[in-house]
Amino acid sequence: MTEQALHLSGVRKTFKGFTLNGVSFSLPKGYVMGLVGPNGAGKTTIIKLIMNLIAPEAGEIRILGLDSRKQEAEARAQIGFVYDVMPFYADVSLRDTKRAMAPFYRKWNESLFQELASTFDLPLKKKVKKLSQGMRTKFALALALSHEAELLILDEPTTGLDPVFRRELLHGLSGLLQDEGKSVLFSTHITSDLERIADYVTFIRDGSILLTETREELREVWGLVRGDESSVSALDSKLWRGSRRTPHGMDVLTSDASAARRALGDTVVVERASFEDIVVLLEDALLDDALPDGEVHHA
Amino acid sequence: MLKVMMKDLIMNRTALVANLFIMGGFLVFMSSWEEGAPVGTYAFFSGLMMAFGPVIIVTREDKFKAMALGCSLPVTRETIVRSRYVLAIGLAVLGILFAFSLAALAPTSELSAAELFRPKIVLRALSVTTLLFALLLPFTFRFGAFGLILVLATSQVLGIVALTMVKLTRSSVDKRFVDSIGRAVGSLYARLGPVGFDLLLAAFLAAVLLASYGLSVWAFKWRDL
Repeated sequence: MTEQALHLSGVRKTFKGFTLNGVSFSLPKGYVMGLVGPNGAGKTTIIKLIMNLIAPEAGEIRILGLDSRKQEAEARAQIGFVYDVMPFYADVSLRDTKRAMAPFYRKWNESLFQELASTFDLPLKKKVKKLSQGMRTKFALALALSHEAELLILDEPTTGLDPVFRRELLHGLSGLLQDEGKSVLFSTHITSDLERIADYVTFIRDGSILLTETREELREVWGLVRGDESSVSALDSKLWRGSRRTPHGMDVLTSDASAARRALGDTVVVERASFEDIVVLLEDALLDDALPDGEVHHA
Repeated sequence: MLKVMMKDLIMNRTALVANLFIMGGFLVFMSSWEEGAPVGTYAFFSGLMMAFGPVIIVTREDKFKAMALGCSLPVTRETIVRSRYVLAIGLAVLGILFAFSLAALAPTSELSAAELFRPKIVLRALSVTTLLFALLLPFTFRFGAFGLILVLATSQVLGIVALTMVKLTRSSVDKRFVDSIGRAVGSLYARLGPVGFDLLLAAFLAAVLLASYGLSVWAFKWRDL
């Protein structure tokens, strides 16, 4: 059996006006999962549940086999975290913040931290409030990477970063995984980030997981059917996952490109769907109620 | 536990030191009253003011929403609660010693070290701080800085309601209530003697703190951050 870095099973949490509805997914060790969905979909709630910052009403969360509630300290020792807004003390310097946090980690690697601080150009003597959002994220990343965490939990890590550093960060994360077999769960709005490093994509909307699949499956199995409206409309509605009108006709997102090819032959073009196509068209389809309620595609 | 306490001290160092000096300044002024502040009153205010240290930690944590940072570190919530109680007591003891030393050493002070550093007086100051912590901390663990406001505002409202009722009914129930507590304490003191009474008071304070700690652990376990 594949070792799981993260396993959520039937996790439920209700707030006023929002319910995270029995969320289940798994991230095998050594892989990257992108958690994607619109604002308010429940991405941060899932991350807070994993970090035990909020208590689930039902379900179970296991981090590298450890129960996130019953073995919270042991589980969190394995996690490096970066939140969209890091709750640092704004009037404390980076050096003091590091001094306060480092002793919690048995595997703290001071030389790695200094190396990362230098790579990221972190002004360690400055107070957190003097840093831009991007620099705060870099500092949080340096802390997260310096204790040799087995699992990195990153909530919108690329928000506020300049494009160059964003690319470097994603490249770095990818390298880290290849070299050291670490696992990453990161939430994002930016689908190009998913294309770069995600091995798994989990799409969440309104507190429900709509899709959790591997990158290969999404690339090989899903497709974009392009053609004039009458040809594309001949596609069996069971294969439709979303659609959009274009100046040249119509694009239909399908979860079975081969079946679409077989059904429509040369009357249409079936292309590989990008992550952005999948995310945008799925979301539009949901807005239009094109999908039956609660339909979920699993890996 | 030590790591959590160190984190709190590092993150709040400047604010805690500033508080110590501001409160210290007031206490020196108080100890220098010409007519002389009664030593008991000085002890009461020392305890009250030195309780502000842990309050500062809570309010700053709330201001920066930093409880999420503490709770993301590899430490249990129960350890965080325990550390906060130990740190609160530690800061209170040090704060009271600082306040008493100030009054004993300040050239303008009307109070002497012999008057201040008596077990009874130290215990009085500690009682004030302990009872304050015991009341405030469970609320702050459940509601953050809002918990402080909740307790203080509720106490104010209850006080106003009680005084209004007494005024309206022209009853002397408030006086009788305070007198009866005074009589009960007095009779205990007479029966147990000074040492026995101090020991009983210390045991009572420990029991109150323990109950408060249990409540805080329970309240914090279910707090969503």
